[in-house]
Parts: sequence; C-alpha cells; structure tokens
Amino acid sequence: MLTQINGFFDIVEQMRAVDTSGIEPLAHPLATVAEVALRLRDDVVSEPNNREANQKSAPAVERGLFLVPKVIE
Amino acid sequence: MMSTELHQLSLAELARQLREKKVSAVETAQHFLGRIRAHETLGAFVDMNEEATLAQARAADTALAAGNAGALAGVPIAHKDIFVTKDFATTAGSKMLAGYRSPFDAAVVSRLAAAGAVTLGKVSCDEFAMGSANENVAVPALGHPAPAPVRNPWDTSRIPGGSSGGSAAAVAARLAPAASGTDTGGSIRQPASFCGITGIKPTYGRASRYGMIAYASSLDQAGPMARSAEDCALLLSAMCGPDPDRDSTSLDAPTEDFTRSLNDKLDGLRIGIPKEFFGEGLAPDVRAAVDAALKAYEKLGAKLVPISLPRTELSIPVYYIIAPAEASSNLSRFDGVKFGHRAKDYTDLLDMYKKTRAQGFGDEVKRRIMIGTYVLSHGYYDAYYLQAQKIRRMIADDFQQAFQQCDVIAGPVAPTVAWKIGEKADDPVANYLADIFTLPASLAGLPGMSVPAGFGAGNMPVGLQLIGNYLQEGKLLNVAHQLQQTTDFHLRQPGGI
Repeated sequence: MLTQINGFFDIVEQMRAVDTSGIEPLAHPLATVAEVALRLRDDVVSEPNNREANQKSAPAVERGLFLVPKVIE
Repeated sequence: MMSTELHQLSLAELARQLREKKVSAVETAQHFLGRIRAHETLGAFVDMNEEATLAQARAADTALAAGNAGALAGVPIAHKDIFVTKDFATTAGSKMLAGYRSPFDAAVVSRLAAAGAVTLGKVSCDEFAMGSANENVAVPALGHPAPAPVRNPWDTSRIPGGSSGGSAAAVAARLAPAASGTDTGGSIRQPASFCGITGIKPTYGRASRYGMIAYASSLDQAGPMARSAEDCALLLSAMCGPDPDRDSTSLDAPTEDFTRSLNDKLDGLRIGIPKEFFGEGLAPDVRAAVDAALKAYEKLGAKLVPISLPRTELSIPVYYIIAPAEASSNLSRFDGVKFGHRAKDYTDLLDMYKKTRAQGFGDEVKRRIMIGTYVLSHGYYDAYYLQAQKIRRMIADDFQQAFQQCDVIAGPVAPTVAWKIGEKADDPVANYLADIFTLPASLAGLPGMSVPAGFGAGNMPVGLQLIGNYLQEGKLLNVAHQLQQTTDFHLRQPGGI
C-alpha cells in the first residue's frame, strides 16, 4: 500500500508547480459563475422522534442509548 | 404485447403502454424480476425484495386505473446501492454496511417513487463509489457466495466501468429499463460509455444529495442511466428539484421538463472540440468512433469549433486530492457506534474504532482516507488541498472561456474501451489516469453525459462525452437525442441476453 500511495504522490507533483498566486480556492463549483452563500435553516425541530427506527442498525443499544466501551473510569 | 418483449421497449414507450393499460405494472415488474434472476451471473444486483416491488407495482396499477398516476407510473428502475432505501438493504458495496437497513429513502428514490416508478432492487457499485471498474466490491451480489466484480454484458471477461457499474450492466443487459447512478469523477458517464448506454450527470446541486451516501460532497451528483437520451430526460425531470432544507448545496433551480427541447434542430450548433481530449493517450479505436459521431453532427448542421481546456491533465491530481480529502471527513462517521459494522474484540474505545475501520473498509477506501487525511493535515494543507482548490477554480474558468466560443463540448468519455477484469486491479494509479476526460467537468460542476457512439476494440461500446454549461441539461439531452435519431448504437444489445 505504501508503494501505491507513493506512486500517487508522484502524479501530484505536477500540480505543485502551478502558479496560483491571486487565485481564490473554489469550494462550491457554481461559485465560478455566481455568488454562492451557504443557506441556514430556521433553528426549529423538523424531524419527528424516530429513535426506534434510527437505532435498528446500531451494533449495541440498551434502553434507547448507544453502547460503547467504558471511556471514563 | 408478449411480455417477453417488455424489456426491449424504451422507457418512454413502456410508460406509454402502461398509461394505455396495454400492460400492467405488476406484469412489467414480474417480467423484469424474472430477468434479474435469470442473469445473476453478471453480478449486477445486490438486493431484491419482490414483495416490496410488487406492492409498489400494485399501487402504480391502482393509480393508473384511477387516472391520477405520475409520469413514470409502473416504470421499473434499479437503484445504485449508494442511495439509502427503506425496503432494500443499503451497503455502498462495503462490509462496513453489510446488513444495514436505512430508516428512510434517499430524496432521489422518493422523488422517482412519487412519479410512480417501481424499484426492482439495488445494483452493485464500487465501495463508497470509489472506483472506475466496479472491482472494489466487498458484498456478494445476488446468487454469488462471495463478493465478485460486476461483469460487462458485452464481454463478461471485462469490467463494466465504475463506480455505477451495476447500474450500467443492468441497463445494458435489459434487466431494468433504467437505473439511478451517481457521478463524482465520472461514475455515471464512464460505465455508461463502457456498457453502451446513455447516462447524464446534471449540474452539481440539481439533484438532492439527501440519502446519497457521501463520498466527496462538493462533487457528488446523482443522475439517470438508461438506453436513450429521451429516457434519461424523462427520468432526470423527476429526479431534479430543489431540496433546500435537507441538502445544503441543493440548487435553487426550478423543476424542469427536460423532454421539452429534445426535438430542437441542431442547425448552427457550435460544438467545442478540446484538443487536449484528442492527444496521444486516446486509443485509435475510441478516436475513430468519436470522430464518426462528430461527422454525424456536422451532417445535422452543427459546426465543430476547436477549443482548449489547457488544464485537463491537472484535473487528475486536483481531483485525487480534493475527493479523498472530502472522503476522509465524510467517512469518519463509520466508527462502529451508531450503525454498521463493529469489531468483535477490542480493549477500549479507540481500539474499537481502529479495528472496526480496519475490518470494515476495503483497500481503495483506506488509501483514499489516508491520502485525504494527509493532504488536510497541518503543514500540508496549503501545499496540497488549498493548491488543488485553486487549480479547481482555474479549470472551471477554462470552461467558461471555452463556452464563449461554443454551445456544448464534445470528446471521448474514456481513453479506451472497457478493460479486462483484473487488468488494472492492483494498480490504483492506472485507474486514476483513465478518468482524465471525465474529471474536468466534475471539478467544474458542469453537466455531462455519455452517448453511445459506436464500437471499438473487441467490439466493445464507445461513448461520446457531451459537456454543457451550468443548467444546460436540456440542451445536452437535445444534442444527444438528435444523434440518436440518425444512429442506432443506443439500440444495439449485447449477445446472449
């Protein structure tokens, strides 16, 4: 796996030589042509309580709580 | 209509016959379920639930009888196993999600269901949509005792492409008239090309990502895969629409009828031909098919305009920095706590995380998580991740320059036809390099599609890639549909099916 990852970084080298001074990073592709602001939705409860269905695929649950190994002694 | 012929109908024709009650939704569903079972060797399907499928079909028949049915009432569709579904298992091709059952349906799944579509089952994909060959699969397909790569119906010793390889193989083998797919770096277009079908990735943000298991959130986009542009237009109209409360990057673009402009004439259409897509890396057989398609466009009244996308080659490192970076963050949720796989033996919480992830993820997923974590780490962030995002803007700007001279851009989807199973399985970089022609449009968030354009080496299908400007899906589908009025490549079918 190390050889494969090193092989990958060989193809990345060409990218590092590109002059990008003065270029803004592009996070949302449509920001190329328009102002893109991330939306905020109203801070209200929108999802109904669906605990049982949501915990159906959990590896370990007890009384509606997710079980994990002891973290604090 | 003999039901043995149902799988030969286009989706548009099938929808019409269902509306005219020449065939029932239940009969249609049963026909395709039978075909899926008869072609399990392809490894395309990973889950079925006949009871749920037939219940949906009965509901469609009721709606059709009552005269209040949606546009896709009774039309069967398969869903890529990256969309979560209540009635079917969802694994994303990973051991991490083996046996996982979602409490809800993905937005794309529920939108298609609301239009009346009937789900046939889930189709295989590369693990977490990471792959170009559908060889990175860790869950067994139906009828297979162990995980196996999906086979290309045109030549079962070859890969179908990826990551939506099960979708493409199922449609090409007429196991479903259509399938959903997702495209992050080419995962709809490349398998569509390799399997001789039509697929479109819409503008980033057109289709809701809600319930689509995230790989690289700034690139992931859902789209339809079917046999013709007309069929894709029908499906895309149902799939797209704003979902502002559930997908933070969903576009505020109204729902459209993408069939509206299918029949527009192409007189005077300017097709941009990027010279970087026709360099020495392009196999001669693929080039010949693409050139022939471009000639056909000239006959239809289009004009070919030479353009340049100078940073095409750079899109490979840029994509393989940005996508793994986002993946490393997205896949951190798979920790064995709330859902999915958890290791059996561990000493403490950290050990549980480590063993769970070491056991649950396949090699390609691990590689990308490690690359992504590395390029986001302190001291490397500017040199890799930020540099990649800057070049991403330059690549997107190059397209805007090009679109000043042309209406659509055309070229090959992939440098070669589908390769043999196993040929590049141990060489991830070779797989990455083969994505060169699909990555630029992905990075720019532009709509792109693959249209059957002929056959190359080994009589394997070749796809023509069409790229449009933002929100120009209607134009792309029009351009594809017009080619399909003068060629019959999209009607050809593999032997033995």
